[in-house]
Amino acid sequence: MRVAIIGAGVIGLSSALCIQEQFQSLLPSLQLEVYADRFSPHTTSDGAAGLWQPYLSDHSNLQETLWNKETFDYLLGQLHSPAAKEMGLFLISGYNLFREPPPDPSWKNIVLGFRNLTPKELELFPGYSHGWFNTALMLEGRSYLPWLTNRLTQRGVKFFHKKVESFQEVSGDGVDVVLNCSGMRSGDLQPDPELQPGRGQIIRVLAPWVKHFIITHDLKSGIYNSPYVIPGSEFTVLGGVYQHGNWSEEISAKDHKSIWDSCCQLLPALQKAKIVGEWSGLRPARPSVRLERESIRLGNRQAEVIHNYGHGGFGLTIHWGCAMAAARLFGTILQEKKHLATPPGPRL
Amino acid sequence: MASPKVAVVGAGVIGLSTALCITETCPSCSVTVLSDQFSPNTTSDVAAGMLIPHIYPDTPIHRQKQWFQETFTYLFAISNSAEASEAGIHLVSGWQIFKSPPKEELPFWSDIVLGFRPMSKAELQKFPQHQFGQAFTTLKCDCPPYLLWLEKRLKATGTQMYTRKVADLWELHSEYDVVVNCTGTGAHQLVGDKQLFPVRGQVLKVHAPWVTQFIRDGDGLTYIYPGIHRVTLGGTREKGSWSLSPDAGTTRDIFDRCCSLEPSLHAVQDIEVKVGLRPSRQCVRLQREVLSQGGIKLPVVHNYGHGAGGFSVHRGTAKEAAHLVEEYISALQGSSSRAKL
Repeated sequence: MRVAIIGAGVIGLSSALCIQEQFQSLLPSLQLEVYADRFSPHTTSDGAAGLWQPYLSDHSNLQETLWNKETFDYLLGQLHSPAAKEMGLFLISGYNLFREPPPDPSWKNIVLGFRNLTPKELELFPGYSHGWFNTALMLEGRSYLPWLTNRLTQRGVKFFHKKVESFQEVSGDGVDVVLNCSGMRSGDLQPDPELQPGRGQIIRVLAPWVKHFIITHDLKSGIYNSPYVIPGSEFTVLGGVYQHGNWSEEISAKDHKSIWDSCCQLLPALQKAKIVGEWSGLRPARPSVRLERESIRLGNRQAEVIHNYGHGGFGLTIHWGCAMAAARLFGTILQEKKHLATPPGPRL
Repeated sequence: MASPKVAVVGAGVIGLSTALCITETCPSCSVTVLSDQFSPNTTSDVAAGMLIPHIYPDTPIHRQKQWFQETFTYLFAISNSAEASEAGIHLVSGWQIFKSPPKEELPFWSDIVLGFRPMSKAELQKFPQHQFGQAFTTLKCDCPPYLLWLEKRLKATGTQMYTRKVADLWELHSEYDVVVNCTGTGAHQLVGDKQLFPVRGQVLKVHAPWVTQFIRDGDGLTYIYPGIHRVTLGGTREKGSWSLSPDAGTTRDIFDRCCSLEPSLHAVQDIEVKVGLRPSRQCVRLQREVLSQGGIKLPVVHNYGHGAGGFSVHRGTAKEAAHLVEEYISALQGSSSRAKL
């Protein structure tokens, strides 16, 4: 049985791995194939700093909060494994800053040691009156995606460098299930007006003395439109741009200046940091993640599509919960097609 | 008296910060730093430079707290300025963990560091062998950067620095009006202080940029301190040992102990081994002493014996030492102006 996964960002690769881990032994004929026009280090997941942190509010979308929690708990469990470094996974603490009292975030009990900032800590950040401190995780796409790819390759998953133009293209010839993990370009496969780009831009600098993430918030201008500083294992990411509806992946000089000035104001020591790169990417934004089945009629055949896209600026944060949900949907499909006599085994 | 001449002997964190404080309290003084070693070859260069106080049994707690508060405030301001990276000062968060409940639930410095609180159960799960812990954010002074930054600021004030082995403080009496003794372990020999003893510390400095949190076992023997470029893994406390040679068995032991607290360290490849001798004493010797020989007097200010806590209290003790120097200078100027009358 062939399964085609479209997209090789964090969503595509982790969904593939989750399905492979749960079903390969139950279904020896299972053959997974990943199709993508961009692979690491050229995916959206590679550009992201990799901080595990959901948006401030889940808009009562409890399902997404649950998926975020499942991802955090899963990663926390991996922290002491020998694979952690190769995965690009490590603990990091830091600050969220506000100019007015914020409501508690949906994730306050998921992260470690969540608390409000003390007055002395706020002295570090003039202009900000409230804030949080907590310990979370970093999962660097530039390491995690190659790690996922290696594991998938070891388990016989095949990779195809190809821009898929339609579901039909991959669903012929014995492919019964297609996983649509095409992120920003899902609209090319099936129009979805709810999916819009949330354009971001970042500057990469060398600032190894910065050991904390610092995310500022302007509750009026929306998420990620306020400066942030996120230290990684090789460089520190400066950002703070979220432009809804902007499809440009070109570097904007105006955004560069705004990011640089606002981050240096936040952390004066950054003025001495050496710039080593820049990047612009499109967050695949949607009012909620599209994670559902769809039966698609293609000519005289029926194919099952599992959509798993629209993770905005929290793909790495939510990926594992979504991968497991996608795997459950896959299991249901197998049962319906009588490939499985009994439901799949315990969730990994 | 024209420009009083002050010699500071010793160029570790104590010597350099004391010299800098003297230039601040006594701008008319001409300050010279004399040392047989400068960064990167001082004891301070081996230390991680974490601001977590060491307790001196015979120094009143309020005095230790005052020193720590002054030092923390001073470095906090630098860490928040454009000079932070050059000075090597940065904030670092992490945990101090205990296998059995600590003697004090709230150490005297808990309200000086940032965000001090007990660790949650979830946080303690990372350390299955430890039952109790404290989470907080403090400052770290990376060396050599911090010492080099102090040297740069000293040079800007016109302070001269010379490599010179001072075998006896009396050597200096004809050239200098006041001598400040910041010789650390050197004081054992230089002024014959038998109360000063070395506590040997071996550390590993590794490249592990994914380690962002410090971890310290409350027993003070095992610690992981992330610095700007390297993470310091420690350590040992060998009382009375003067050996500066790294020991391979000790390296293995430190590495194993640290890996058990932070398993991701198994992946490190690039390990530098360093040894430092903490200039330890029951109390920091911070006092005036007028040496006298054949009718000649040499005013001395001692500022040594900071043991494991040099960085934590350096600025506070430097300021106090500078005030003691100022007292001498005022007295000398008073007597010389009386002489003019």
